[in-house]
Amino acid sequence: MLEKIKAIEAAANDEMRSAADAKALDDLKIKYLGRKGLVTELLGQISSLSAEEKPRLGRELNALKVRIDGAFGARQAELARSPVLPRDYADLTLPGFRPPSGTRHPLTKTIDEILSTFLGMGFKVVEGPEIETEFYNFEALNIALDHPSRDAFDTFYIKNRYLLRSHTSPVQVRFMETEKPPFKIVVPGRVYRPDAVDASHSFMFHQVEGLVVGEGVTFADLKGALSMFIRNYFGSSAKVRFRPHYFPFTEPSAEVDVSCFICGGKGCSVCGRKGWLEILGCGMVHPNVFKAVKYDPDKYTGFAFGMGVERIAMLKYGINDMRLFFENDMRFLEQFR
Amino acid sequence: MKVSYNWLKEYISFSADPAALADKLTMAGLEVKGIEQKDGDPVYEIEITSNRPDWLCLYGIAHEIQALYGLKMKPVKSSLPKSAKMPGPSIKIEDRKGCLRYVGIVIDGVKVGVSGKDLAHKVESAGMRQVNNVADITNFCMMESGQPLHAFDYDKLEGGRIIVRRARKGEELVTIDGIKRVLDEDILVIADAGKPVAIAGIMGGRDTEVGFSTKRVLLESAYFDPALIRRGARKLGLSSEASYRFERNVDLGGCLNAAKRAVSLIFGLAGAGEISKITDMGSKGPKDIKIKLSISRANRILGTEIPAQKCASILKGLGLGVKPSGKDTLLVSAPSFRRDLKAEIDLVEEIARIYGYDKIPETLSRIQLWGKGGQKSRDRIVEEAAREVLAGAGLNEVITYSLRCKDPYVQKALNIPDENVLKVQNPLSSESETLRSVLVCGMLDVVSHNLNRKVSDINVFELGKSYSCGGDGTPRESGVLAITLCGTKKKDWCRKEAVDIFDIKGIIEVLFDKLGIRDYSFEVKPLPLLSPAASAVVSIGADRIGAIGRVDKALLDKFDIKSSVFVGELDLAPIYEAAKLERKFAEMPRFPSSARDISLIVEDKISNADIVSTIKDTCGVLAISVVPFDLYRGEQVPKGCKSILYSVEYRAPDRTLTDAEVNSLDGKVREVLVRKFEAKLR
Repeated sequence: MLEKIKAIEAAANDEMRSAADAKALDDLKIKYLGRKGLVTELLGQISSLSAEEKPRLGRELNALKVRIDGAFGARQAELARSPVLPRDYADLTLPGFRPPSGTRHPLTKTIDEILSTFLGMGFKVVEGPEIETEFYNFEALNIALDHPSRDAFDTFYIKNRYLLRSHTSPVQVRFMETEKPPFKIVVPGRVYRPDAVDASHSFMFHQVEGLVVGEGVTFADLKGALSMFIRNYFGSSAKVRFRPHYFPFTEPSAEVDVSCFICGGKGCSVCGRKGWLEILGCGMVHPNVFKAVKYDPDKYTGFAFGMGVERIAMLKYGINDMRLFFENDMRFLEQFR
Repeated sequence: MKVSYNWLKEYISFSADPAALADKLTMAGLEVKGIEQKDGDPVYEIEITSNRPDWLCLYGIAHEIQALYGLKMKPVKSSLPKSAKMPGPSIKIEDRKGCLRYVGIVIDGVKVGVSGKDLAHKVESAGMRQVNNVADITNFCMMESGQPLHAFDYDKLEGGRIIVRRARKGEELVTIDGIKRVLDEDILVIADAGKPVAIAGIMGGRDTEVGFSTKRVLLESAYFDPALIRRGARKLGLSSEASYRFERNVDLGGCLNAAKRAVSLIFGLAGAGEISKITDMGSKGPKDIKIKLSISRANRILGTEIPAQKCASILKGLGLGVKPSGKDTLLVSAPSFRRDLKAEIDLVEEIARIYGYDKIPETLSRIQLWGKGGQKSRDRIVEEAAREVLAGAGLNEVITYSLRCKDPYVQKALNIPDENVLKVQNPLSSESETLRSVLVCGMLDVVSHNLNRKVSDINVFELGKSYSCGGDGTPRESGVLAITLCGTKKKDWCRKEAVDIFDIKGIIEVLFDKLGIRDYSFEVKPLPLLSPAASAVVSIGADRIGAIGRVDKALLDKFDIKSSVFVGELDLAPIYEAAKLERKFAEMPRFPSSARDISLIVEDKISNADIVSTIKDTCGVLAISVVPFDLYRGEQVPKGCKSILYSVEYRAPDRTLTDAEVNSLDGKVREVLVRKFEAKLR
């Protein structure tokens, strides 16, 4: 019996020394001191010993139990002081394995966000061609030839009097030619004007246009709908103001300013110290436009609006140079993940 | 336009301070862009919209203040010497369409000198340079009433007469700015008996300019056709304060008063002796335009309840004639300085402006009910899904210019005839003179831009348009998807791999899967602009919709790109048509499948497609998938051959296949492969 005790103690000490971690040590503790452990098993055998051996070996066994327990404690503390890393240890300060993830272009992202705001308001998305005729780009929109108002719509011409649309408004005319009111549409698209490229000009840019026509549509409805859009898009604290302006295809016309979301309306370099940012142009559809599409201007009224996507994206992301949108530098694009 | 705050007060008394007035004007449509202090006088920079030429003067702005604040303007007096004995100057209008009215008057004994402080400040506040008292007075009057005036040195006019006519081809004139202008029939000129002495409405001639030695002045106050002046100014590349106003339409009825006002000032400030009778040729000013305004209709358009009386007082404040006619109607007459007012809607706008856009309520009720909420065309839905799939596959979306330089190399390689390329007739530069026929060139620009900035991993896509000209001369535009890969792709942070043609193919496969397109195929085929070693036609059903491949070195050289570039370009219309975004659940297979691997060595020319279709043909419906899982060329394989491994999965729809059945199928497949392709099995 005494030999057994010595053998168990030696084996336990050996195994404890080679236990690599707390888990292994715990397993060992169960192996020796657990309910079915080797020491417990020996204790169980005491009853079968002679009367004079019982107390002596009983003391020996209890002393063994205390020694092994102590040794476990010591080894545990030792392991805690100098952990040995398991073979499959993961240094989680290393970067993760990322699945591929690309980015949407900030302009198409901005267009989608604007559209989804209007979709939520019950608008329908409509698109039209980039190559247009003078009728759709100018005449039907009440833009007179040889008038200074046409300066704002300088245009690239291609052969046979076709042109690259200088705004998305021709789509209004195309839509009205085939559809009957009432309707609410938004039109995203690429447009072109012969502006030399610099930080705030580009010969190609994007607009989102809208048109609402029906019986009894009012200027008050225009204000209601566009204020709602602005609050939905720029946040409920955005303030809105409508300033009279001139567009050939609407009357009365307005430019819409939103309180500068950079400075909160106090005035900063982005808003030119005015506290307001010009966001879109709008107005009641001019009766001449209705006449061009054979709508009865006495029966129907409506409003139209349009905004520059680049401008909104530049304000929103704090981009200071329009050229960045079309250079497609990976380091630029990847900022919009 | 620059407008002096203090000068405005000479025409109307108001109490608003400069900031308050600026705000009021801005909110009425005269946007004050800035306020600048000039000798203690706040000077506004106001943006005047092109429909309001009447605002291009202080009278016009004073009218606005009168309406906005309900004030009354002060009268401006012109006092002419009573008896004029000298006969009026001889004036002949040859081009009656180009010049509707010409008022001329001669002032004798003028003492040309330097303007006094007040006049000089006013002229300079408007952003003009002071010249001499006579020229400064003409500019002062233009700023006051909007009517451009011109003063000639009468003694320098040959024959002492004025002829308004088109220039003759090749006639020349040195303008006040010292530049010699070559004229033609499109240009309206003021001529004397022999030659042009001024470009009508745009700029005077140097030789007949009023100078310090001038004794007799001929003052011109005229109305020139706006479109003619605009075309002339554009043709000459010359514009002036005068042409700016003539282009926008001056007041035909105001020519005479403006002339009288200037004469009275010249008398007061330049000590003249005697004046001639006034010659006033052409129209004497148009009649007022009468417009009927329905108050209820105005309110219906605006969504307001502005009373008739308020409407009337707004319109009167703007200087219009207003007569009530019944309860709901106002008869409004618009004088000649408001030729922009033609129809009822123009009056509705004036009422809204002065009433204040901010006082109009915000409503939604009526229009809110229309539309069933969120409607997009199917094409748009598929397009947005495609963008998301491609970005999700690790590509960055780009937008490249639709306009670009000519690409003769690409055009020739793709066999595109010159007449099919759409060219811009008025390009900004040769860099943007054609509408792109393909997207690949713009994509290579993106690659080269990034490589030049030491960004070598480029993985991009664009959903854009390509353009062409149809046989009948009709331009066409169609949607195109372009994908471009260059450099390496990261497997993870410790492993990188060069991109490959199979990356493009895989992305397109994923795209088609996600769009529910099944019957697509890739057919190996040499194609222009692509390397013959890696190029394929992509089809949906029987229709070719595009190509993928490695860009040919010759094309890369044009862009100075040294790395390998892989591209895919697909037409979007057939993709939109074939897309099926709806999904239906199908029962999971009830019986298990068994797989067998086959390893074979075949000649390189035997394609994967040949092998897969042979296995499927041999087993019929029982082979549910045939997938290659390893490919090797090298030492252990004879030259010109490849070792390729397939996993074939067998399953019957109605029972569990026994081992014996599967083994028999596997044996048959092996036998056929050996027979058909002389394959060596391993």
